[in-house]
Amino acid sequence: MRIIYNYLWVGVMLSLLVSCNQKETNKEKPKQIAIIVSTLNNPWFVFLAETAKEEAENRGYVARIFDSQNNTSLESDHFENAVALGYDAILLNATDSDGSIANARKAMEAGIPVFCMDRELNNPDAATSQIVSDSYSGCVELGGLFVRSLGQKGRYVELLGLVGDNNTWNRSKGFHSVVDHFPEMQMVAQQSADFDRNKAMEVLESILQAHPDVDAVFCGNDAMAMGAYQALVAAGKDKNIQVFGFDGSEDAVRSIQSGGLSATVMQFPQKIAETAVAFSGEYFEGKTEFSPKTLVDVELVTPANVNIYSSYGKE
Amino acid sequence: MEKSDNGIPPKKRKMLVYGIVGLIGLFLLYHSFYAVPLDSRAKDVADGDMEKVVAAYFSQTLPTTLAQAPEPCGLLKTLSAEENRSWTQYGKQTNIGSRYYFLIKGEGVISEIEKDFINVAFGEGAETCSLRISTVYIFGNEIRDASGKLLLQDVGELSKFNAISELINKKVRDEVVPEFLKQAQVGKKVQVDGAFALNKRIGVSKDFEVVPIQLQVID
Repeated sequence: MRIIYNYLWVGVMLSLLVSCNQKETNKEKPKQIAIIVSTLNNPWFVFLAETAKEEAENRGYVARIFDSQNNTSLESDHFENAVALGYDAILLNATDSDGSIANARKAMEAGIPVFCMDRELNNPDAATSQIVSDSYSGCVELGGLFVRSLGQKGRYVELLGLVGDNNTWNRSKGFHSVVDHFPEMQMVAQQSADFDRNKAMEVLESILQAHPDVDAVFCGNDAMAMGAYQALVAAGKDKNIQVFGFDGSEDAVRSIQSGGLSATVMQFPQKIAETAVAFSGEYFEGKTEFSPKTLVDVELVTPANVNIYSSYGKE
Repeated sequence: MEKSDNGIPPKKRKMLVYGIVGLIGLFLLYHSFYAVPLDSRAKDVADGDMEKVVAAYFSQTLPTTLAQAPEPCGLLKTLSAEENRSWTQYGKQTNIGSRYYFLIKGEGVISEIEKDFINVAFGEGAETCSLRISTVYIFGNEIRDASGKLLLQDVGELSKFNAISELINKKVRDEVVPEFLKQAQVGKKVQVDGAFALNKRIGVSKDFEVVPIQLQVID
């Protein structure tokens, strides 16, 4: 009897152990999202990444930010790590529209969805979906304002962003699709300043040596616009030469308020980040078909309406 | 004695070898770089397919959709009211955001002709309104997007979708506006089919412009 009792006791203990173990395995592990960002040197991308992280955590996911430092090799390492560590989704702000394709493909081939934020990949099959600002249309609108501000006549400089980034060309093409229709608008210089504030300042200083009589500067982002404005202040020309940017960054909005920059185009990184996280959530729930590209509106910010905008279109 | 191949002195032969190696080096160097002018990437030419899409849009899609378009004063009054539903009822959205595109159709009288636009007074009695119709700044996506019938997913590539807008606007700038401006005079009655965009967060602003689709003097 004692032996039977002992066997029964061991049996109960084993059952309890098995059931506890089962409970442990049944308890679902939170989904993990890797947020791979082109650079954390630009506050706009910091805001994009942190908003995505916050939104992911609000939904109960674990999220981690990886900084690619504008280097596709480093981005490639981040992708390899994300795949090896078993991340469930990747939100990518690509370093290069062409150069990042192979990196995104690595994850897609490993069965991990990739949702692009703000920067496009030139191959729609390289990502599950791409959520991007409608930069082209924003610059069409900005181009209209630019021409009107100059009375359809003037000499101007264009500072381009990174040559390998699609946003650079979408913005430039949108701008020129309007400005080039006006024959008395003359572009005296077009040069890349890599979306970088210091570089823009140096580039414009050098351009002003050759073309001291320009009327306006169009910059592919606000960091360059602020650098260009700084160069104009240093040269004592900030009152005569108008500067136009793109992004809606904090210092650009403040500059418009205080009579510095003439206008910028507000992007909404919060909407981009929230949509990317929402798409990841839909993927986790079983959705597999996504629109290859989702556009997010941008809005023109001028001295007349700047009071209704806060930096990065925060709501 | 050192061989003198083909009678070439060693010094000259050495120079010849260096010259050939130099030329090969220059040839390889030249072909190692592929120089592209910056603006060459900014030129995507619209192909014939897009022209067909635009032609069909003008001849089939827009006339059908415009037949249902509201008259301007009633629409603006509805959009200005507190009721939010009218924005989604009459407006179309193509992106995530606050921008809505609208179509209008109505008869009015030219009240002003300016360098870049004309003002047209619409309506009678209590329900009157005045709208600014662009005659120069005809750019943007108003005409493409206000029908809700041309979508990015149907076209595929974003660059083509943008090129369609450019072609649509070009058609209006080149074919509709110049013909109309020849006959336009203050006081003339006109038929206006147009499209415009509004930001829902801002509401109905006073200075928005209507992009014309068809403009016709009717008396």
